[in-house]
Amino acid sequence: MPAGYGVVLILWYAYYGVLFSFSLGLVFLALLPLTLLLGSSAQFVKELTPFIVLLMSYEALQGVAGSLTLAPVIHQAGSGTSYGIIEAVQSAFLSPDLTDVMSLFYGLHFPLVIGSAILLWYSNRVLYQRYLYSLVACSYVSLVFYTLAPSAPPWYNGVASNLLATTSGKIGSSSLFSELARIGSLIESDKLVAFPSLHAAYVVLFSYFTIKLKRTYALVSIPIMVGVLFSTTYLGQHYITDLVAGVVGVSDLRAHRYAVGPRERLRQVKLLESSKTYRARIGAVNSTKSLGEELSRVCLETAAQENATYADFRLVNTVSEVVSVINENPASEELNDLGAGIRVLYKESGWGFADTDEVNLENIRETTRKALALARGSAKIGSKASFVKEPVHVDDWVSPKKKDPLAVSTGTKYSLLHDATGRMKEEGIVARRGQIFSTRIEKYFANSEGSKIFQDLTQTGASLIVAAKGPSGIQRRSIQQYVLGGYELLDELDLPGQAPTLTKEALALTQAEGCPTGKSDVILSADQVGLQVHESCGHPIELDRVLGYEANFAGRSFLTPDQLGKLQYGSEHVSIVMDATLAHGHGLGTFAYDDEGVQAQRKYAVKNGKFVGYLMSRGTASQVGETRSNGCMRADTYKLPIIRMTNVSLEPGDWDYDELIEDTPDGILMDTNYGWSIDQKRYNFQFNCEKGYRIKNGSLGEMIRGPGYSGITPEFWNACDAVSNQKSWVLWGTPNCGKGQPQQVMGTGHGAAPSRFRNIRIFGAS
Amino acid sequence: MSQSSTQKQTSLAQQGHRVFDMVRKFAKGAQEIEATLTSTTGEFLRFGNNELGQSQFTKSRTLSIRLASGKKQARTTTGRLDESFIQKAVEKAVDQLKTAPEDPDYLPMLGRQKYPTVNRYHERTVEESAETKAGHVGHAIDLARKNKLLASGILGTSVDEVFMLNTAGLEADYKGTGGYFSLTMDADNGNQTGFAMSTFADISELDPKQVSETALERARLNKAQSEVTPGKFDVVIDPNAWSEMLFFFIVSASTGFSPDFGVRQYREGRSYLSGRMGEKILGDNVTLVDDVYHPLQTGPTFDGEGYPKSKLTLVDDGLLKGLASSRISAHRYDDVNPTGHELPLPNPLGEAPTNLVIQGKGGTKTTDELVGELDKGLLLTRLWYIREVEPRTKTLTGMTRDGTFLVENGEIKRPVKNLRFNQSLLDLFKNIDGFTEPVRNTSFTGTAMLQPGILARDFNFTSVSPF
Repeated sequence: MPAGYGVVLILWYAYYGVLFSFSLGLVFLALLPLTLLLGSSAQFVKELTPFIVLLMSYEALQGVAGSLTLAPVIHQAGSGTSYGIIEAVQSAFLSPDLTDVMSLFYGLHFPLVIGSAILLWYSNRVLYQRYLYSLVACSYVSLVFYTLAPSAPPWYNGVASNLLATTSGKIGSSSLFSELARIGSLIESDKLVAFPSLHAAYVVLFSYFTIKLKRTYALVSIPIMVGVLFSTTYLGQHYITDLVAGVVGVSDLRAHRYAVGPRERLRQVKLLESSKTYRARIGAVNSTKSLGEELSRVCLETAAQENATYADFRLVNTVSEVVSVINENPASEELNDLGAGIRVLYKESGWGFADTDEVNLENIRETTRKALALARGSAKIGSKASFVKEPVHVDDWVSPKKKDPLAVSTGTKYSLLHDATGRMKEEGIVARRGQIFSTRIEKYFANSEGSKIFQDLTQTGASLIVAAKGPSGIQRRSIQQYVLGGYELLDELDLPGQAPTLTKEALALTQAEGCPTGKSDVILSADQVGLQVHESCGHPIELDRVLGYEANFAGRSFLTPDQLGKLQYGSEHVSIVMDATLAHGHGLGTFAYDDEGVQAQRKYAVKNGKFVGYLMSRGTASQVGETRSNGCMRADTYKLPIIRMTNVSLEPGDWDYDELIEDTPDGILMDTNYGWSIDQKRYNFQFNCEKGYRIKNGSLGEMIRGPGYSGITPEFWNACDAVSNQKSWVLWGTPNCGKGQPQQVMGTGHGAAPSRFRNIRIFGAS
Repeated sequence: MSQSSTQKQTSLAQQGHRVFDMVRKFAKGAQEIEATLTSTTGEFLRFGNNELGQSQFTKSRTLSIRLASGKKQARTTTGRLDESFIQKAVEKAVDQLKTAPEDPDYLPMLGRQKYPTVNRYHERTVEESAETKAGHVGHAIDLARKNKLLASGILGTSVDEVFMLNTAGLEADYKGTGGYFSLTMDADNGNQTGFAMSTFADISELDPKQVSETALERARLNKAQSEVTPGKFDVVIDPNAWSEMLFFFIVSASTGFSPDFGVRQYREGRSYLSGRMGEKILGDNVTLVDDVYHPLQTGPTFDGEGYPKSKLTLVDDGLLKGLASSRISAHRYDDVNPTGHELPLPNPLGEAPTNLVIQGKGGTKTTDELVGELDKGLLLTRLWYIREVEPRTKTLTGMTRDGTFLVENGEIKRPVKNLRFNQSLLDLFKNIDGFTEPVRNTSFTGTAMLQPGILARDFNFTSVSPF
């Protein structure tokens, strides 16, 4: 975009014959490749570009206004108060020294822009950008005026004396003032571009932004502003109307957003919030996005003013519904939770985060300050935050769904659950429970680097549990699945169709034999392999816990950075991916961008058994030598994002499931997880399942109750000798992964297929 | 800055009445209305790797609305208290009411009640500045640095408020503060590690230096661990070590993580306790009560429908004696009186004790004194990742972490590698020889529990970790 702009401007220059005249813009443009040669970063180029665009656009005025044939508006001498004021000023103040000083002020208007832009670039990038955009916008608004209605300055037809010319005439004398004035005059624009006054516009913007940067700068910038405004009149360069138009133009561009005091702002906010359109907008489909856009501006602006190195803002609207039937009792609840989370980095060393559910402009500003206060506190204790780069993304993404689950009536869900749980009513059954979960998460993300991302995610889940009581105590059978998708999941799951089978199995388990204790070959069902991946691979590859940030609660990891690329984590049959892209499937870990604006990616954690990758964030990636995060920062609603699993999946192997059973002379099949536990470094685990079957001579034998197994993670995965193929591979959803303090709950996805493990420690759990 | 700087001028009760009026206005066609307004603000200074890197301030309010008509009920909850959002939430509930099935246990809403007053709000906790709290964290980090260790943990404070009212005239409110300081110091990728924690309602109760020193002392001791052969060991369990384990007293995985100590689940046969009333389920020296009025307890004195909570003995000298009950159970079963342990309605799960107090007989000692009484065994400073293996015996599995020490003749001899256990909670409570004073748990498990540390026989360890 900026490059195309540059080309257009160069052509413009050429067309109007100003290409080879002296031009600061062109000089800077020529210097641009030099910065690349000197090894300066792309970031520098990116930030310099609007500046060059400004210089060139301003210079373009010279050519275009002067080359147009439209008749300029020429005011007659002696008419109007504007004229009267100029005449009065010139006759009252005229003196050669004042003329020199005023010429200096007059010539300052562009050097001021350059100097203050450099100052802002060093101090506050967000303000710098806003400043330049405002300047460019001013120049173009003026260009439109000049093109449509060229207007001559007062001296042009003798309304006033052109005192600037008297100074220019003295060029060559050694006066310091006149030297500086001469430099200023080099970038003077065309004489027929008096209305509106860019002198006025630029100088007002200059003082506004410098004061915004630091209040004490007002001591310098306000006198300069007054000086420049006065000089334009005194030197006969502008009518008062030009000045007024210039100032008004600026206010119009900036004022409603940035240039009002807190009291006025509060009044405007209240007015806005009480207005019908605002309410309608909140209720409208894309309200989260438009509200997010509005609030993020205030947040990022506040963060920039207070010198945050980086800031991001998230507005998250979550609507979820749970419909339950337990035995004969129904319950439903719909929950709507809207809030904003603000994260700031101060002095590249302190992070602060604050969230709020009061999403109005005033409170967002206050919450941003809360985050900043915490960040300043953190900066004192000092962290080594290094933040890897991520391209700027501006995008909207809606997750795919066939049937909106929240549009399906609660009554329909109740009927389905009553049907399913009704079919589980049998002698010996003590608990029947069915639940349907529908969730919509709309989230708007914006950061100080310019990313603006809106995502609209729909998730659906369901579970069915039946518990039977018999000689061996309580036995449970269940199914559950959670996906990124719609109510079509319920059609696929067919809860009522599965209910009788589950019921029969639960009753049979109360009569079944227990699982033997010892060692055996084990085949695990796909869901159990999924949970095994979650606990023994997904958690230990979270880079924050590897680096010790989770040591107090979630724990650490045995997968330390020195093992990366070296450790044989599993057998050659074991390849585990971290994949948040939609191509991987409709998982609870599927999205377009993570919660710090990093695009969804696919990376290997384990490739043919070798440990090769971590789940990372922008703040941690550099610590294992990566230059980009793989996008694993996720937050429970609008809370603080932390490193989370996306979809961490075992890649399918090449065994048909039936062949796998046939190939197993003696073993145990374990199906559907019941209990799970693993140590804080993710070595020592123990799982038990709801049901099992003996495998004898390649076929399934009698059912056994409470089969369990345990082991040490790398030993276990190295004992994997077969993974079933795509036909039996399922992307499971785990809706309840807990991590962080205060604890956050997150949904993750785990693709898995039934797999075989040799010589595993087994035991009977019940 | 402190938490108080964003506290609203208007009280939650004032806000509650305003909101309730709106709900009434929009809830056309509903015979009965109940509204519960909750507010939580928290300030959490979270640190890891000797860096204060995840400081968080959090603030949320929710309005939960229950509507009833005939025997049908619906509940919606919203995080926005603007009129337009309340309208949306009420309309959604009205909509659900039309298609909801009849609830066989529905009872008309409860009228005005009297609640004993408890004072659980401590201004000091709210007023404490983030700078002061960061100072405590800074001290822990300095101490860790001096000893070549890494400090990780959290110092959090929070204010919880609840205001409930309904069309039958009920009004109930609660305001309380809480907090905790949890600290790990470790080195060598956690191969050397120590843990300490302290909970409080009033932050002036917190002795941050003691927490730091305990974590440091344990970390210093806990390095170059040797292995012990898994098997049965006598153990001392630190009072702060086992919140998650004790949670399984009252919740079972067998029916999908639902509570057990309630009349409804007991009578329906869903509880692991069903049919065991009067049986000895724990040791003679253990009494289990639910007592929201205990001076160390937290939380409101009313239940999910506003009924006043009463003190309730669940297990008396080891015998199963009582169950949490509610108006619904009293209505369903002739021989039952309500005890104020209903969850928010509609509630198909059943009642749950929310303020457990585990009482041990025979005086209380400190953890160190219990260690002094241990001839040979293990001191467990933290148990981790506990899950149910079998519900009837309440067999649980889990791991030790952050400091497991071999004790001989009443003295800590050496640290040992982490162990996995498979242990029946009921059996463990039959083998207790000594107790410490109870401490508050962190409300991590959703139940405010006062739990002692113990000295117990024959704790069953089944395997060992490589670290």
